[in-house]
Amino acid sequence: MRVPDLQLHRPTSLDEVFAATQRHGEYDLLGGGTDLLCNYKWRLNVRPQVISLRHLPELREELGGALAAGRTLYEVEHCSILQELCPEVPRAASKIATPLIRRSATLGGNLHLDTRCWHFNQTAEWRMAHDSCLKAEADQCRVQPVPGDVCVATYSGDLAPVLMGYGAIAVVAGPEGERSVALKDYFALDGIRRFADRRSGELMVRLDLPQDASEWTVRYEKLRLRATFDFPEGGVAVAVRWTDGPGSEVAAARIATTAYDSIPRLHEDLAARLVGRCIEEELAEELGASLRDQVRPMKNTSMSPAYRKKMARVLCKRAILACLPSS
Amino acid sequence: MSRYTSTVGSRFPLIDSMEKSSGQGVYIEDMRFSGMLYARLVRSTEAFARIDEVDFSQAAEIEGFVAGLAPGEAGTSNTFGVLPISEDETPLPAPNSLYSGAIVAAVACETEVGAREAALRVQVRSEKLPATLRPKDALRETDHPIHSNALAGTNLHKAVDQEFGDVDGAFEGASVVTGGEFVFDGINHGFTEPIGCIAVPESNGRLSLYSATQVPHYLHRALAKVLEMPIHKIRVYKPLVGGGFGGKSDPFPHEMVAALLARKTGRPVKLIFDRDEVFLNNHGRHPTEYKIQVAADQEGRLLGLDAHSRIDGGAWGSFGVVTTYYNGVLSQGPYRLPSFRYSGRRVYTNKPASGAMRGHGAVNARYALETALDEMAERLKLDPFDLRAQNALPPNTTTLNHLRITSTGFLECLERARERSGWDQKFRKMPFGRGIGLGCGFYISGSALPIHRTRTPQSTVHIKIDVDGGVTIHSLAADIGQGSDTMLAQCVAEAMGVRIDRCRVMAKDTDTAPIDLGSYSSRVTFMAGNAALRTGEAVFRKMQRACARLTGRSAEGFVKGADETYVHLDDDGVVIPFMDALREALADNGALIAKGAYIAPKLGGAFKGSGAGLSPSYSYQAFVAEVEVDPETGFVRVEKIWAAHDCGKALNRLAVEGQLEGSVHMGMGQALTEQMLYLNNGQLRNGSFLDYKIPSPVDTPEIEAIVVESNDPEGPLGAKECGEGALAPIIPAIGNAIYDAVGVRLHEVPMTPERILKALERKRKIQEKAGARP
Ligand SMILES: Cc1cc2nc3c(=O)[nH]c(=O)nc-3n(C[C@H](O)[C@H](O)[C@H](O)COP(=O)(O)OP(=O)(O)OC[C@H]3O[C@@H](n4cnc5c(N)ncnc54)[C@H](O)[C@@H]3O)c2cc1C
Repeated sequence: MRVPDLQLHRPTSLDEVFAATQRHGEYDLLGGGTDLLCNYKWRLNVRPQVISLRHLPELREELGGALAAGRTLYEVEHCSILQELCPEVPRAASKIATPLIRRSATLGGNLHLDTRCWHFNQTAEWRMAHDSCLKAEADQCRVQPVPGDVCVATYSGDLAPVLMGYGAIAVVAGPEGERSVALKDYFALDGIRRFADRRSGELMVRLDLPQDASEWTVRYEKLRLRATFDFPEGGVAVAVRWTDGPGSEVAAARIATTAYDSIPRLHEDLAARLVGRCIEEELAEELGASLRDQVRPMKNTSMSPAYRKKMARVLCKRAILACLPSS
Repeated sequence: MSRYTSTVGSRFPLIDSMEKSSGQGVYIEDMRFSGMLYARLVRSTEAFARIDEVDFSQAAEIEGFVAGLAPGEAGTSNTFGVLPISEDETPLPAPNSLYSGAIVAAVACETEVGAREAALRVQVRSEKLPATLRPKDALRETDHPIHSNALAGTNLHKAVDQEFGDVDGAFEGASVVTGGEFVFDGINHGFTEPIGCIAVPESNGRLSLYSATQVPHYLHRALAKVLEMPIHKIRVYKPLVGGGFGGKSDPFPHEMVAALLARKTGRPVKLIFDRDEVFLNNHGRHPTEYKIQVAADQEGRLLGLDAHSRIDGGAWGSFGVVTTYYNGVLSQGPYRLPSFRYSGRRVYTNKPASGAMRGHGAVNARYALETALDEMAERLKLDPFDLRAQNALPPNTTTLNHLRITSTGFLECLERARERSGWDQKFRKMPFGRGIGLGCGFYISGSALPIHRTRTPQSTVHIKIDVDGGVTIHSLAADIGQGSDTMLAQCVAEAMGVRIDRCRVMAKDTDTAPIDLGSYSSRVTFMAGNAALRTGEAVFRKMQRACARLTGRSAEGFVKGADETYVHLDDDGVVIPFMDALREALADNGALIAKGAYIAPKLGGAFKGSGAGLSPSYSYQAFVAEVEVDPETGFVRVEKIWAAHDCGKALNRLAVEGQLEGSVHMGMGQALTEQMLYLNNGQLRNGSFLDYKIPSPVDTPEIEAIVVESNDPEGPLGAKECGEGALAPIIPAIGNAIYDAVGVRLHEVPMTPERILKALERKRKIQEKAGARP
């Protein structure tokens, strides 16, 4: 398996990045390469120009109230400030992929992880035998073959739902300057387009956490066959702010999922049902059942959609109950 | 008197472990030859198709393109196969391509990148044929059989029917009958090093093939047949091999293709698979449907076994005829059975071929039998250990199908596994969700019958010792990571009374090594080990004679002394250092050479298929698994495994424990997570290590290897196999532990969380219905 020939750019400032993106229409940004280069080896949407983000000081700022996009998952996992401020972020990072991958993989890369599907994440030869799919060489989706369909490949990042739980805000930089957008609004429900309002030349610089981040209790439950290595087959993050100390009535709540759609998604209606209540088994069961009825997993990952749907209930219930101080 | 201290039973690292762990070791990927070309394969995009034309014109535009190889070219339609009775493989389609991903053509280029690009540009024109993907469809008549040798106009490859004793009578008179139908998905070996080879045309008209193979000798034969060259014009060389588990134990089409390309271009050709190609090559465990019934009387004495298997052979025969037999034959132990009926059907389908894999033929059948026994113990209110112990095959007996049983440590395996695991305090006594289970087994220690009809010994070993004093051991036993080189060195060192590090093993080259049939059927320690011992003993006798010449004492009086010396029994003071004896032995003679061989004794009955399962000895196992099952998700966490295995004699304890741990880990993969999955068009869906789920180190439990030694009278220094038999029992041990934990018996393997959850839901429904009834 070899990465095809490509030209690698190593800019050391954002301006150099923008100059490169403007010069080359077709390019990819490169974080740790643990996602992009795997896809390149399988000749998935290879672009001739690759711009490395490794040497940009803006993406390597110290982790703290803001999370620089170029920091590795290993650094996120072991950052003591984050362990204090938003402990579920390092904990979720520790469950991603393998220790070796976490040493290279970056936060930005994780959030921008390409969507995945049986019919897509295959070798070029395999796809030739199959007329491939919307997201690669062909014009029909193999999972939901409806004409003019959108891509339903699955988003499988672990950090997005957890960061959404903390109310994280994405800060992106482009030739026209910086802008901020709530992470929950960052993604678009299309496995190919993936991002709502991505403008040419933009890249993610960091994530800002709101002032009240440390007041939230966040718990993330991940479904996967093996205890390491595997992408989530389902993931639910539950975030609550208590009215009066841990375990008291819930003042505000967020519930976010991953691996059930082509984006990480906030379930505001469900979260609203937690507000004004105290967490207990029955309520957790109820919300879990509702989440199960809401999610529509596709037949394109290892586990069957029916099972992943069932597990949405369990994951949600367990994440809710795990917010209680006694758990 | 200071005598030689034996290394048998001690713990020491394999002799090649430094070389491997430091990165110095040479694997096929590390090898380069000047002028070497890189080959890539073009693979079929259809499950079944007649290949009409291969067009290299676009590929030829790639810089560095040198040659293509297409169906129809010389040699590409010559048949071969590991078993002479089913030589149904060809290097390229002749003219039909038999599965999606099968090799259709090949290109050779100056660079690997170029070859990859060129292969993608090769145009193949083909005519689609109706594919057969499901085994049950393979039994129907068809106008398009996958092979012409299939039986009766169908895709049936092999039928086995055996019956011993009064089976019907046994079942009529039985108090309890248990069993059922079981389904097993196909699995792949998952070895670390992808398959690869380099074919090198030599200046004198010879051809060398360097290949990561378990069976250099069979590869040697197959190459001669396909290339239509005298076998002495071909040399097979096996570098270090990064795992095989049966997945490198056939001669393969890609080896033939590389050789044909080398001959066509006159240049060395290297061909290394990507991981997905390893899965497409497969030859892994057969997908299996297994039906079993076991009968016993009120006291739990087994009366009969009635089994039927249908196994999915995929596109080729491979070892499949043997697998078809083994699925029945190897269920005849470790229990005494007064009656036995078995029918096996192997079919061809348009999928990657199945073949031999660690525990070959015994594993799926074993799960069915051990599950049925667990159920039987429950029905009879007997402890599962007691049920097995009272039915154990005694030593020195024969089974109904004439397997000769000599040493057995089965009862000791049972005793020690029971005691170590704390079974009596745990079984049916732990809280819901926590369980413990037993699985047992029995396996051949080398197939007594060679694959080819021949009177040549199954293993021959040569030794050469020259003035440097180094002991060079030549053999063709293939070390694939299991440690057979170390075993050979140890056997020779033991026989000669020298240190192991004086020995160097050259088990890689058909030009210099005497024949050994290779690494399969758990034969190497038993057979090559015996040959090595005999060779070492021959050298020792020469050394005795040299000592006698030096001292004027009797040759037979010299025995092995401490620190590489020979001492005389009658006189402690007569001590001859090894080098002194050697110099005397070399005088007027030149290099010392010796030879020893092993041929299995004549065994077995006179009925059809009587050769299957015959072995000079058998290994025995009793494994206990303790698990935690999450009833809400169906997830199983294996907490601990106790693995008691009778290996005859642990020559090197570390190596034995390594084999047991490896078997447990591998068996756990089949038990819980591994499966080859196909789309409806016959395409393999999960040909990568991300999607094919081998358990990770984090999922692997603590494993207590319990070494049981029955000191086999014919094994080398008492040893018998420990690398394969130990895989089978772990799967039923886990299955039976799941039953103990949550009360469901899984009839589908792997026992994925989803399957376990379904079984729990089914059980709940049945209970609710029963509860709703007045
Ligand atoms: C075997 C394996 C298992 C895995 N398991 C998991 C898992 O369990 N959970 C999980 O969440 N992930 C998993 N991953 C994915 C892993 O987390 C990602 O590969 C990693 O986080 C991506 O980071 P990277 O820096 O290497 O990204 P890259 O591969 O460099 O890039 C990925 C994408 O992000 C874009 N990108 C990178 N940085 C930026 C930026 N600053 N702004 C805009 N776009 C950017 C790139 O252009 C590219 O499109 C797994 C990966 C592998 C190979």
